[in-house]
Amino acid sequence: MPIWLTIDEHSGIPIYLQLVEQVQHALEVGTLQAGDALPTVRDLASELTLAPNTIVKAYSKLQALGLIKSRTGAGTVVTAGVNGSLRQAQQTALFERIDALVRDAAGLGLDPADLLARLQAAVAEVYPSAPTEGAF
Amino acid sequence: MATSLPRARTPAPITGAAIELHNLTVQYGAARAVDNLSFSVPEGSIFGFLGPNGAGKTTTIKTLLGFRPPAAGSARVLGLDVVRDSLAVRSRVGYVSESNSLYDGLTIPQLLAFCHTTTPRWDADRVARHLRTFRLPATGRVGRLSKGMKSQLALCLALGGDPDVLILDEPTGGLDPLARHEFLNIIVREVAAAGKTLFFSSHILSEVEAVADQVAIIRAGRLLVCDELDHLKATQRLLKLAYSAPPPPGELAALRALPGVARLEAEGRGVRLLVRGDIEALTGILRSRPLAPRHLDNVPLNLESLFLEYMKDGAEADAEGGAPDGH
Amino acid sequence: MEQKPTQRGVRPMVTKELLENRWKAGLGALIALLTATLAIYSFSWAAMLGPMTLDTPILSTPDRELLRQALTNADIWTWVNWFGKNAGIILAALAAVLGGTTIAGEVSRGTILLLLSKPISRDRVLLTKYATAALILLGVSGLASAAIAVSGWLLGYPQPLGGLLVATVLVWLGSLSILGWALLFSTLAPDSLRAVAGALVVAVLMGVPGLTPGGRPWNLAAYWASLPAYQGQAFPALELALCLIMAALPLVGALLLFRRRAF
Repeated sequence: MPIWLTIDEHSGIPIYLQLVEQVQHALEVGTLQAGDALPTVRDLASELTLAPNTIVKAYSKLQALGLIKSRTGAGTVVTAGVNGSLRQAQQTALFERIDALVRDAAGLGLDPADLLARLQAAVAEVYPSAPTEGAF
Repeated sequence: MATSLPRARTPAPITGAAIELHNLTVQYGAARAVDNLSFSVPEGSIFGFLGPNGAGKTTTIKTLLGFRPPAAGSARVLGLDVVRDSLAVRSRVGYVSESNSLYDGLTIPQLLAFCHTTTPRWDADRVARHLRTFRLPATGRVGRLSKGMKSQLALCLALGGDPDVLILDEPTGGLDPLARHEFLNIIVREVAAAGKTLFFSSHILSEVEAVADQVAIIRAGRLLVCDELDHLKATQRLLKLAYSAPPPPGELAALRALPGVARLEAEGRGVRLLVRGDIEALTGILRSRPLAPRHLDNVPLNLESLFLEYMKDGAEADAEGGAPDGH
Repeated sequence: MEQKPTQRGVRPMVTKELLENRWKAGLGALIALLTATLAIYSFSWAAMLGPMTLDTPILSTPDRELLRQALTNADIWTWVNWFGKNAGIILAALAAVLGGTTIAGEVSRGTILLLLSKPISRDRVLLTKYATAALILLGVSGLASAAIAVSGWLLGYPQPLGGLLVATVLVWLGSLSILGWALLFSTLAPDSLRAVAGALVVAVLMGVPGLTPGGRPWNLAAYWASLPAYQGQAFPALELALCLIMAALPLVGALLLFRRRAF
């Protein structure tokens, strides 16, 4: 199971957050799907040589995000409604990146009009049927 | 074991703490090897005890095991006082010392027999299993094993008694990367995954970073920080600020005084802040300042960087002649 | 299977102690055996050589009368050449080595940390080491005496068994005082060599003759042997009592020091 998990223990990013990201990524690309079971805390800790508490934190966060659910006696599984929660989380992250982008543009001294024009062009290229004028 | 000073009543044990130190002070000859050390190790955690060489890690561990008496303060293991109830402590603790402590003159079976009958709850089958995992021989003189193999054997012996707390002092010196991985894996599997507590001291940060969920850093016998590793990584970051023009000294002074700024380094148009605390709030404050930076990078710190920053703190404090503060 | 930690600990510790000291014990036994056997066998040559004054080691009180008797009396000759001095020297040396190395040796090799990490009280650790060394010393003394008994029987001048037994125990008790001091030094010293050296110095001091008010030279080691007891003429109650006291005192000191020693 954890062959798709790669943890960088020596990064500054807490290991449990890396686990959460990796599970999210697996869900995005389809390695993990709704209904799949995840290893127990004990098993995963032993396989990855990580502290069980770290695994517990990762699972708690994933549960809080609505991506997994722990069922008594049946271990932990990916929830059925994962697609909704996952999409929500991805959208939030994306919008944060847009905010950062705009800030960087302002920092660079870019004209807002230039920025918007560029965004319009990108939308037109990627969304072929989207309206290109007057949207703003 | 008697100490010469009458000790104050030891504080009541903290529930859920496998190990607790309360103002522990230990002398090593005339020097204070451990100076007013206080922290607690939660049950079931993997606790990394870090510090440069000579910081007092081994002395602390020896005090927990009853090898040395505290000069002041107290310590408990599993709620038992390490001085008064040393026998009970030792019957529930597994220990691997920093340097070789195995009887070179005995054969492996003889050493196993010695441990079998001097350790309560010895499980010979489990020990045999661990020996096989490490690919250690079952016969032959202990003295013929390499340094690394002796460390592995010592771990097997310590695990044989099914300890509730496993205390390791710099355990993986002399092990090649594969052996070190196996060593850590066995520890995680047999101890932490079973709900037992693991307390180990190390100056090899990479192995601590891989498995520990709690860390304490000491220097010259004093505590610099004790916290969950994830929390440390989340609340300590470097903020790299890029300005259009070098900020004036007044602005730098103001930045230094902002909440959460632990250290400020400025060079030309760049400013580097070591932040301890609420990074989001500080980022917001920085962005809303009249002289806001043009660009802001939030850089996470790994354990080695965190450790070095704390060592810098300690060095600065020594230079000022004051005591460093810890949590 | 939970048992009281300390009760379980003692016997396997004894095994470990015996294993660790097997070479010292073996060498000591060999030397004692050879010396004791030679002590009794050499009587044949004494008889052959006649009234020549042999350079025999005698108690520091040169007793010419005793020496003259020894030339014609197998019992006295044997006693003079073994229990008189040599047994004491060999057993004292063995006691110094066994006792001096037992703690200090483990400290310098680091094994003391393994030992003390077990749930066995320090008193029990020290007493077990003492008991094992004492056992070895008794064994060596007994072996030498057995060799004398057998040799005497083979040679035609059998030695008094009762006297042999008493003398065996007496010299053994005497060596225990050196063992106690060696253990005490072992607890204090940073390495075995110093501990053993210290114990040997004590042994030498015990053999140094001092003058009592009466003018007769006297030393502590004199209480380790008694010719009248060997010959069955007297029971050495005073000697046994003094040896016991001299053995107990340094042992108590060692126990107290070991309790407080920081490692």
